[in-house]
Amino acid sequence: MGAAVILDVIGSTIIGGLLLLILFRTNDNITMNTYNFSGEVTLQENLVATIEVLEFDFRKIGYCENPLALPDPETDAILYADTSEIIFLTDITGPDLAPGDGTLDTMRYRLGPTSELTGTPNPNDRLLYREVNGVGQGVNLGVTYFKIRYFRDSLTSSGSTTLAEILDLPKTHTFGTPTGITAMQIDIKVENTATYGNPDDNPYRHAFWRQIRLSSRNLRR
Amino acid sequence: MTGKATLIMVIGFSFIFIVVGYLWGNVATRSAENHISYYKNTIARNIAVSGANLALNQVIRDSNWVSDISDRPFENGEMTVTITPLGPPIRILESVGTFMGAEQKVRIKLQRGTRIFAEYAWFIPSVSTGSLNRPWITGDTVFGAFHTNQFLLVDGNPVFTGHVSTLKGLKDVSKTGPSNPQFLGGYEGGIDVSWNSEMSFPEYAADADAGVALGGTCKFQNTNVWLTFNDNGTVTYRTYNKTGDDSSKFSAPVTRSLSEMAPTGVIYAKGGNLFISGTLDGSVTIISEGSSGGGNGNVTLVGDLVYKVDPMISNGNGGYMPNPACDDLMGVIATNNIIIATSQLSGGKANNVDNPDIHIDAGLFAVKGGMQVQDLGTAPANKPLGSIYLQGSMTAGKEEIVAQFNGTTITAGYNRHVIFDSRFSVAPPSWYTYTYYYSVISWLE
Repeated sequence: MGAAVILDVIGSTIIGGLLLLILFRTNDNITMNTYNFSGEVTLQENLVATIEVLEFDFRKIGYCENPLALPDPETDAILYADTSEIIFLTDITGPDLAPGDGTLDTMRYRLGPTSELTGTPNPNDRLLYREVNGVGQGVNLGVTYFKIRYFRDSLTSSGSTTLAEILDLPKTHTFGTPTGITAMQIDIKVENTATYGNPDDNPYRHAFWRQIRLSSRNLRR
Repeated sequence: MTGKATLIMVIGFSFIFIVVGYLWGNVATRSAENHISYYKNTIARNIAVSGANLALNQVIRDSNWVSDISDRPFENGEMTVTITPLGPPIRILESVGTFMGAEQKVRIKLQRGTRIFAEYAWFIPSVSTGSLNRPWITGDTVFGAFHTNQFLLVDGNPVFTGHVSTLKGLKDVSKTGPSNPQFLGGYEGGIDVSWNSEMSFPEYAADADAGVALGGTCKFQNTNVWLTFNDNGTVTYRTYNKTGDDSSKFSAPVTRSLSEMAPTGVIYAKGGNLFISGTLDGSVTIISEGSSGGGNGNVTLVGDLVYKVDPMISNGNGGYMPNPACDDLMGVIATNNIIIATSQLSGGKANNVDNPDIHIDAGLFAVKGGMQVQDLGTAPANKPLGSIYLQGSMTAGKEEIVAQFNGTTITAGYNRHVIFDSRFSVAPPSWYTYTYYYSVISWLE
């Protein structure tokens, strides 16, 4: 074996090694990007699923197929209103918007603490609870932020009506006492429950949604 | 050899990139589809809501409206609105919005015509000047909405916890100093709530005839009728076909169950006056129809007229809310006046004077007159008589006088303590006077 052959072998080994390194690196990048992209899609799907359920339920605040059961939804539909928790009266409907059974149901949305989800790598995700008549459970869709702001109708100096945020809202409402709430702003932020590699190098993906003015028509008939 | 390896490597990498590109492309497509789906549903719902609003605008203006909105193009989608036929008090309106294959629906329940006559605790829809010089005074309290198409006259410090509106404004008639009415629910002037133009009286006589055909005793003509409601669901009635309120001259009492006596929910008297009191267990509307002038077509309250179960209970916060346990409901309609009896012969003295205060649970409607006190200012009604505790509503052609006073002190008659029975706004008593007007009582989307 001549020196040239030895040189060929060494050169080939080096080039082959470099190619392998490129391959490994490419594979790692592909895996990371695939993870991130899939994670973002999942994240967005979670967000849309969450807000569709939220909108579906919140638009029915104060609805009851038997109006006698709730004669004053403007006054009595919302039982508890806090920045990350709300309890309201509604009438659970069937599929394809089939009317409710005319019996009032109590629905509660709340955001749990981060301590409930220590099993996920993301330290900020929380369970979002949806309870009907005290029965329900939290789901982990990566919600890290859930905030509701409440608004009432307000007259402007020109006589038209606008919305003004209720800043001194009592959390618990006495039956028969107007809450004044006619609209809500809902903010939700969701994050991946885990990320590929170190979060410092590859932060958790997140998506944010804001429903600027969600109003159940039953709150302002 | 070198060329072949290079070719294999290029093909291999190309294959990997194609596969990965395809996967990433799918991810991007899913992401876009996710948002597009939400967008399409949102637009479809907006179209459905718009269709519902367009239809509501029509049906509220014209209660006979039949939907002509079918596959109507709107915002690059289509809307279709259907509404159940006119007839029953409840109509269902459905609006369907479609946009790029997405479909959303809005379902609205409408109720006919209780907006004007059963939404106010106290309602004077007429511009009759007969309402003038009949002020609200210190000690008067109204829980619920108040409207008058005249001036609201105040003398002292009456309290209105609900929204107050007037057509002509507020007038202080106090001679002892400025009045200070309390409008805890706000006040608006210049609000016109139309009277009569949209109002429709049911065919009471025909309704009563239908009740008679079913074996009822619910139609009386040219006679005074004495009705005492008993808390066991029965009614005791007597008649007297001459003028006067001497209870001893009425015929022997006959007692029947309310459902047997008024199977259609109506007790109708024409050409006489009704004298009523007692405790109602059930639901009924009583009508006293007569010519103008006050000789007949009046309803006289000879004592308390209450439900078996209290209709309104405290909400623990200084206000009131409907009592879920109460299913009693009464409407009282008089062509002329609703009078609080004070005479000896009618028993009004014993019930309403010697025993101060009068309690009334009903929706009261005095078409041409108002609520007044019999012989106010003359004995025995020449002293303070306590309060009229009305749980229901009062609609009247004009204000009448229920109190005489000097300064802020009542010298004769009653203060008024009115609590609106909010059940009326969604379920008025049967055969209660309607306007042909539809209002939304339930919105599902």
